[in-house]
Amino acid sequence: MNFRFILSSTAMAVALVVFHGVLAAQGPTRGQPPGAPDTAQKAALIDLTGYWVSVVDQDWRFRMMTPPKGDYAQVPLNAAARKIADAFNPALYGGANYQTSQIIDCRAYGAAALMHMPTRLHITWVSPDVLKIETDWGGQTRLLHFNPGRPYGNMEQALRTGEVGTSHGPASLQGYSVAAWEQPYRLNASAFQRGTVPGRGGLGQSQIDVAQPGGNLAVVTVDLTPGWLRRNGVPYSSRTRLIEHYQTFEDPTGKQWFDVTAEVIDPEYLTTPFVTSADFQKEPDGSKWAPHACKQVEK
Amino acid sequence: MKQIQRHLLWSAAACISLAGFLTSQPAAAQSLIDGYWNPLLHQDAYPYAGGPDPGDFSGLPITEAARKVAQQYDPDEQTMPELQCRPFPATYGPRALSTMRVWETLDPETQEQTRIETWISFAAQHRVVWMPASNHPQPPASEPNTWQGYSTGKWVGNVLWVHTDHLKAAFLQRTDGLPLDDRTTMDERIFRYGDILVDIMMISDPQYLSRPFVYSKLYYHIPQGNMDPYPCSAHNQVPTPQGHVPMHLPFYTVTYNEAFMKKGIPLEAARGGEQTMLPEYQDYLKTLPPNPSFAQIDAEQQKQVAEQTAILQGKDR
Repeated sequence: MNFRFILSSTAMAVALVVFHGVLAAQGPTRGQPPGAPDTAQKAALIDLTGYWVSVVDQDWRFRMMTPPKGDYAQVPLNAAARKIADAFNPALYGGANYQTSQIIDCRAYGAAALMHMPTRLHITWVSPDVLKIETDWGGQTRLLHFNPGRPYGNMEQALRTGEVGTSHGPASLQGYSVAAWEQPYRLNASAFQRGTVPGRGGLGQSQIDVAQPGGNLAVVTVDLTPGWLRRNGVPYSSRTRLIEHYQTFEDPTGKQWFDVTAEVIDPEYLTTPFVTSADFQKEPDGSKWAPHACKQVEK
Repeated sequence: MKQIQRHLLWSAAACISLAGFLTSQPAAAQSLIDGYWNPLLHQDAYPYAGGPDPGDFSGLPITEAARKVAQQYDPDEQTMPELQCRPFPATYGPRALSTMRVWETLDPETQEQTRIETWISFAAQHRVVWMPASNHPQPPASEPNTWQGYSTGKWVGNVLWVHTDHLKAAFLQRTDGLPLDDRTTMDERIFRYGDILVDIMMISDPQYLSRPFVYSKLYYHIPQGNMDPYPCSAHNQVPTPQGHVPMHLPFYTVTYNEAFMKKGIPLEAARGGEQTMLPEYQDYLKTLPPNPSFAQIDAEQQKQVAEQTAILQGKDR
């Protein structure tokens, strides 16, 4: 065995180990791996584009119809919010038939509740870094803004560092949404080390820094005008922050779906985060798209 | 010098092996969902706490056959000593409101994940998901079905895919009598976002569901959890004659209670069916007549009860 060969082999192996450590020490939001797609559209981890219909088999009576005035079961409201909800005026929404009139206040279609409302969605890319969600019921449009050049991210960490969650301008019913594709956690890496960043396990772990398939969309929305969590006037305030995660899946019959989990954080009216989910099934085209306007009520 | 060379040789071999390990790619075992989880009560809490109101099937993709079975159901069935400690099936337990513990078992030799197990405190529901490394054989068709069924799982990225079959005939929801056939299967996609666990349950039943029932259940992580024992024992809570089985005779409408009537759900919508799950059903809701008052409904139901009692006692027709 040549001494110089042994020395160079050792050096190479050590260099490889050190290289791993250097990569592991990098912050999870620092840049993308070489050759990674530079737009959100190209980098998409799941395909959300197309027509989708919400399938309502949970909270049916809160979503498909207006619940009775004063019925805010399951929502962690404080006293101030209950007072507002109790002021709901059924006369503005059909009087005696307000529960099934389908005269629905536009505030019930604000971003914090929109995905929980029964509706069809049309999702398209309006630019390589902006995903648009339109609804037929309520006639709303949301724009999800990805960070140009950095389509991947970790929302939990971005919220902690303040990279997202800050104001982007005037408030609106749909607010301002920042989006990122979240790659899966890497095997044996810390929770903040996702697909784009190598992780590092402890001694004795052979499978470290292993990339995983899949991923999801994460969205944080702020700059909201006050809206309703339910059709019967259960309020959320302009201080609300909405955190959403989208995940696609296939059912046993081969139909495509996505699930969206929504966490509404409102320091003004909620005593804890309000967390719900909704499931949408893909449709082949827009033939069932049926616009229904919501009702603008003077505040 | 030879001794130094030997040391260097061993060092090089060790480093190269280590580097090889570091760059290896196969992924097998994961422990993403271990721990204690509490169900989030922000959606669908009412139907899964005490159970839905009898006769409220709104938003459920049930068949006419399921509706007929449910119409014969009497909630007093829950008081029968024989049924008081009846376990929950795997298709229902995760939807109910009870703490869940999840843990993994690794092969001691290979450290590969062989099982993921769950324990739900209410009704002591213990479920085993066999992972590929277990090489657990599929039970033969002749083996009796069980409440928890036979589950196999695999990780696809950060998502746990589970398929369950060999389930006993059970119920879709408690206290409303909706049945599930013993040919029912369930596919799940389980994943987490931080402290939130999502279990997408896709329940298929060729007899009683017209399409898969796709239900996303949310849990929240408990940093410090524990489990209470569930020592269930049957008691004669409501004195009833020996051998009496509470039920309604066929062709009688279900019993609507006052709590249900207060919610304002149109009676036709309460019959359920997959059409009630889609947004366009909102347009149809507008066309439905107002419900009769509870007093009217109750009077009709009392009349039906009297008729059924007479039939059962053989004094009529």
